[in-house]
Amino acid sequence: MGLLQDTEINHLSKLIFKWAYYNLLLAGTWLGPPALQLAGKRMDMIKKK
Amino acid sequence: MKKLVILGAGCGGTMMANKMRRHLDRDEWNITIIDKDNIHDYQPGYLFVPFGINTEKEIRKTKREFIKPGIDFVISELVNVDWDRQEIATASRGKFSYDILIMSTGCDVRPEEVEGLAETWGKNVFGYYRFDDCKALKKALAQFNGGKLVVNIAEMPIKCPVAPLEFAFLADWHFHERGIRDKVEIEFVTPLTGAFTKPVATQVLTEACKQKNITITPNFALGSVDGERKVIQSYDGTEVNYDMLVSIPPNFGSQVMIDSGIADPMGYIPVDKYTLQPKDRDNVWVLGDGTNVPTSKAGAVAHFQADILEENIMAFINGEAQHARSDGHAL
Repeated sequence: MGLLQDTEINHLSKLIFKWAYYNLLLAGTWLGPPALQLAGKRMDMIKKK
Repeated sequence: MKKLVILGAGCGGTMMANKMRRHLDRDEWNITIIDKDNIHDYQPGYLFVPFGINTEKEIRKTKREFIKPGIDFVISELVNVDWDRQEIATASRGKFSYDILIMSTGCDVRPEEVEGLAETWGKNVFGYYRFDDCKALKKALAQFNGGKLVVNIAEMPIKCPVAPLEFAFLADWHFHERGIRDKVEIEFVTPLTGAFTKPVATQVLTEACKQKNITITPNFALGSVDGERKVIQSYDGTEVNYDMLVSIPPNFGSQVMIDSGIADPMGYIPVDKYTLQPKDRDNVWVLGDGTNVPTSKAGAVAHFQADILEENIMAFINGEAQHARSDGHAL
């Protein structure tokens, strides 16, 4: 439930995301693979590289 | 000179233009990005405008400032997309031919698709998926001193599926701050079977709603809105009354894509969900909210899709096999 509460870290995260959106995402910067890339996946259903 | 044309200079299109400009030789490839206007809204900020947390200055910028040098930015309405002729028609800048086409034309809300919704829009029904709607909602919330606030999702899919619930939570906070929470009833009315799409998230979010005294009405397929009686009605005849309705209308892709005969009736372009390419179009890629891919419509998804397109388009140009596959992730 911590994620849903009014905390400074939640507020800070939103500010950081906005900065990253304007300065990294739109610039097309590679930010690494998805963090949850393999979680819950049926890997046999996904065509591998 | 070879031509790469990108449709849409929002999140997905801008990312792709900037990525491809780094890879492609300026003497060999011309990159053109086309959009109807020069306004770039930070859409995650829409949610906070009605509560005075985000301002216009913070979330509204120009598209041009995010497009790197060496990319032609054309401002004009799209008129037609012709995959057979490999040609894009615009309203005021003529036609553009292409060797490679990237499409990122997004989706938008359409209140007019629900009986009675457009007629009531701005009176006692408001939204927050367009900037002008956010400003109108901010005024209405400031004048709302008590009664029943209903947050309603008309149908799925929508942009940022968790945003409506976030709005309900922010409304709870807003009315607490104003000292009138005990005078406001908040009801979340959704076509989903619960608070959210996934079981674990639904369990957590349902508990959060209980703690915040927000009522959830699930399985509600919106049929019509009666602004006179202040009632929303589902297709099965169930009615929910409201004093203020915050509506998330049906989302549609671009009408131009429908008119061009390349999208489904909802305006979404059918693509292979792994390669993000339309069938039998080896030089066309689509990313972002405008595809029919069964994943969240969010900038984060477009970001990871852009990585896939970048790798595969370069492989296509170099005559190599395309190995990258999208899995729809947002995180």
